[in-house]
Amino acid sequence: MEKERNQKEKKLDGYWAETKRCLRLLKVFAKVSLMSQLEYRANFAAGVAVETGWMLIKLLYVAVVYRVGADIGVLTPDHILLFVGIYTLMTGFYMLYYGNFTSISRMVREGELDLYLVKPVSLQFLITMRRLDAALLLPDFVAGVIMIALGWARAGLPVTVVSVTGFLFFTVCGALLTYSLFLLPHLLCFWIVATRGVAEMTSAVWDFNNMPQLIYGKWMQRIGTFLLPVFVITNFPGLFLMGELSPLLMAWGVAAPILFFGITRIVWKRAVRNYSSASS
Amino acid sequence: MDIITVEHLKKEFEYYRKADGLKGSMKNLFRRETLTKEAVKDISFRVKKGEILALLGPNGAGKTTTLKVLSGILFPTAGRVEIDGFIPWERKNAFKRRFSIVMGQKNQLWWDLPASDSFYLNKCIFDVDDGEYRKTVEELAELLDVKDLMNVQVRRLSLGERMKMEILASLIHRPRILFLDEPTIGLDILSQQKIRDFLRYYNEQTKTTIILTSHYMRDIEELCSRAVIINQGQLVYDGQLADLGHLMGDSKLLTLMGTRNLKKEQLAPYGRVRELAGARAVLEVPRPALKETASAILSTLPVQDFTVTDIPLEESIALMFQKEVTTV
Amino acid sequence: MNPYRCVFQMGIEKSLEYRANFFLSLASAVFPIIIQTFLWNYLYGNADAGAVTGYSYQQIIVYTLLASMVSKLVGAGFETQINEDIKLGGLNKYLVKPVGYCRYQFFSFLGEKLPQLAILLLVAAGLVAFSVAFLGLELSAVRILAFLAALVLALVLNFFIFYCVALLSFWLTDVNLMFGTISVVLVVVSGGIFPMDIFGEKLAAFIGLLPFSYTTQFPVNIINGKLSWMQVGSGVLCQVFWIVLFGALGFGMWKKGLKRFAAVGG
Repeated sequence: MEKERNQKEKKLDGYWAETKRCLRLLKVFAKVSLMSQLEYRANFAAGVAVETGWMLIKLLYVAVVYRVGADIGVLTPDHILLFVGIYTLMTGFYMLYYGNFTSISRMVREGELDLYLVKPVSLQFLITMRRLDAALLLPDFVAGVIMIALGWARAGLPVTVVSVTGFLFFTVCGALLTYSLFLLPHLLCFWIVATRGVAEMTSAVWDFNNMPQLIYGKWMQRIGTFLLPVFVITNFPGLFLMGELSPLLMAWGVAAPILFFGITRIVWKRAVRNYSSASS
Repeated sequence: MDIITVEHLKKEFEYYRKADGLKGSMKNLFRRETLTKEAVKDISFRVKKGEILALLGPNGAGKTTTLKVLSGILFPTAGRVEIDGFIPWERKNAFKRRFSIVMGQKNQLWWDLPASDSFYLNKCIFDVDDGEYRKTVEELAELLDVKDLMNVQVRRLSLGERMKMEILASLIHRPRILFLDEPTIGLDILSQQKIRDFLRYYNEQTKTTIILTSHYMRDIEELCSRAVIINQGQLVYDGQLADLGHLMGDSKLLTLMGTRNLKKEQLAPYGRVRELAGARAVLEVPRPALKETASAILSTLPVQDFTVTDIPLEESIALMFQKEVTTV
Repeated sequence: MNPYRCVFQMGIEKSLEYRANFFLSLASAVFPIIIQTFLWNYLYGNADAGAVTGYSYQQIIVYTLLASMVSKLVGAGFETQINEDIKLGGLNKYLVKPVGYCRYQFFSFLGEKLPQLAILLLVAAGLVAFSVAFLGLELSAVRILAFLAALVLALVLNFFIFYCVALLSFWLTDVNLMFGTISVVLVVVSGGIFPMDIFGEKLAAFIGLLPFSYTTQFPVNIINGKLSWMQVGSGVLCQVFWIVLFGALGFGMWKKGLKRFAAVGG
């Protein structure tokens, strides 16, 4: 018994040490990525421009809502502005490492994965966090924060320690869930060759958050909350702020990121095993 | 003491075949034909600590696949491999810290940054402490003669310089075992020589065990005393390099440029004529007689220029098989 | 075989080779439709949206169902290829062959489009049938023909617009970095997401002066019955006008660019 517990503790210590090391590495990756991006200022500017272009579409939805000015019970155009703000911010976080997801298929095809398989750090971490794209984060972060602040103020939502802390907490949960949920489809490239369609499909699913979940039908809200929890990512912080998040949903908001991270780990390990057995 | 043991290694993989044209594409849309290829059939060998071993064989013989299995990148279909007490494909971090692999055609350096940034990244990945890291980089940079290039972006380096940096990056954590897959491919003669000198010195100093694959006979002659030859996934030779040279036929190629057209009967007395086109001819000459033959040709025939090259490795190996077949 | 027919077939093969991509990208086109349909249901259900937008509920839903299909149908995607040809000298291999570069790109574009085209048109037909059955859309054979004609013109117009954008590579080497932004902005102003005339008369008038709305918004507004026959007629004339203009522009740019290409040494 004693021995078993010791072993467990040791294992936990191991995980903690590994996590700490990954965080340290993340800092180095961020620095190196930024330095390498700034080597090509034109590319950096282009990244900002593309992301701003996509943001235009998000803003278009908001423009439509304000133009028509519909208003039912809990949801005013100002609330919708808040939700689109959260969505924009989350998109920025996602875009920070998104390039790594799409390059997985190239790395598998061209065998570049080999170089990372021999490094004594979690392969999943190395592959998915290797390059961080600040150019894409920048416009989304700025616009997202402005929209959130504007929507929050205009909708007259409370500014208290509890509301702000809760909002930030669910934002972090959402960001973590994004990573696991949207990595999964990209892992398909270990089995099938062409993945541009997969990338397109996932970003289309991601766009469901362009509007708050409340405008969708009941059954769709349920699917998007529990089965394929994309709504959890951007809606929960806003719903919490509006006092519309039940304790059950709060618990789910915390559990989903953990659950899906677990699933991602399992699929990742299978994918790499497949790579090592099937290629030459 | 054996640091690497490989027994009955076998590796198969699957691939698809696409029929030609539109019809093929249509058919592929629904059903694909799966084929199995045996990259490595049955290979066994051992390597002693501190040894440099050459892994030879024609293209597609299974050299790279073998190295990948030894590094734990690929799982074998069957067989046993033990390296420094580890089974590679369990991929234990402790194992990964003991070896390094350099692949001539893949680069791990960040293209747009100076190599020193990639070294630093490796330092963090391998958890090397600051003092040791600085010492290692300084020492290796000195040996490889790249001290002045540390702050130049990798994309601005020449191929040879880049390869030196790759090797340096792979040695940051002082591995006990080093796998080199075609480290000199595509490099100019001078860079090749520099890298060879470095590897020999490094091996003598640190007793690092090295397995090396290469196309260039010079690499192998200068660095290794022992060679393992693979052909079509099977081991066909394991022994001293000295014996191998004898087996392969100890000849060189002499390429001549005449001032006017050369004739076959003029050349025949000096060696086997392999090619003859106008004023250009290629002769195969036994190595011991090379010097005398060359000077004899220069003094008697209308030749203005000549070069000496090795018989390409692939060809020598093919030659060896022919001999073996005929002698058995 | 006719060289352009061969190129055309190769385009089809290319797009079938990546079978999973093909189906997934089709499926992905459905999602924005769902999102926007819910949005309009919500807006028309809770406000007098029709008065503001100028579209009846039925018209806006038909618009939503078809706009992203049409946008995908006419969408280009060859501009990166042309940019690479110009930048890395791949153009030379076309110049020595007895084929016209513009025609080569056009048929390769059509070939890559065709499998999509067939399925997208099928889906669009389904959506139109759905609209007739459930949304009470009134449709005549003439309107369908007008829509198809406008669609073909839209496809050609969009090809020439993007061909001109791609040819900018002769002068601006880094223009490929802007292609993503350009195509997103063009999809928006073409009405590929929302019709641009819902944002007020001034904007609508301004957009009407640009060629872009004739690639998406115009054909869709034929089928949903928003446009009168007068407007359809003048719209088709505008399409033809813009095709001629961009065709001529492309021709001129190609000639000038090629001179420059030869001078720089490709």
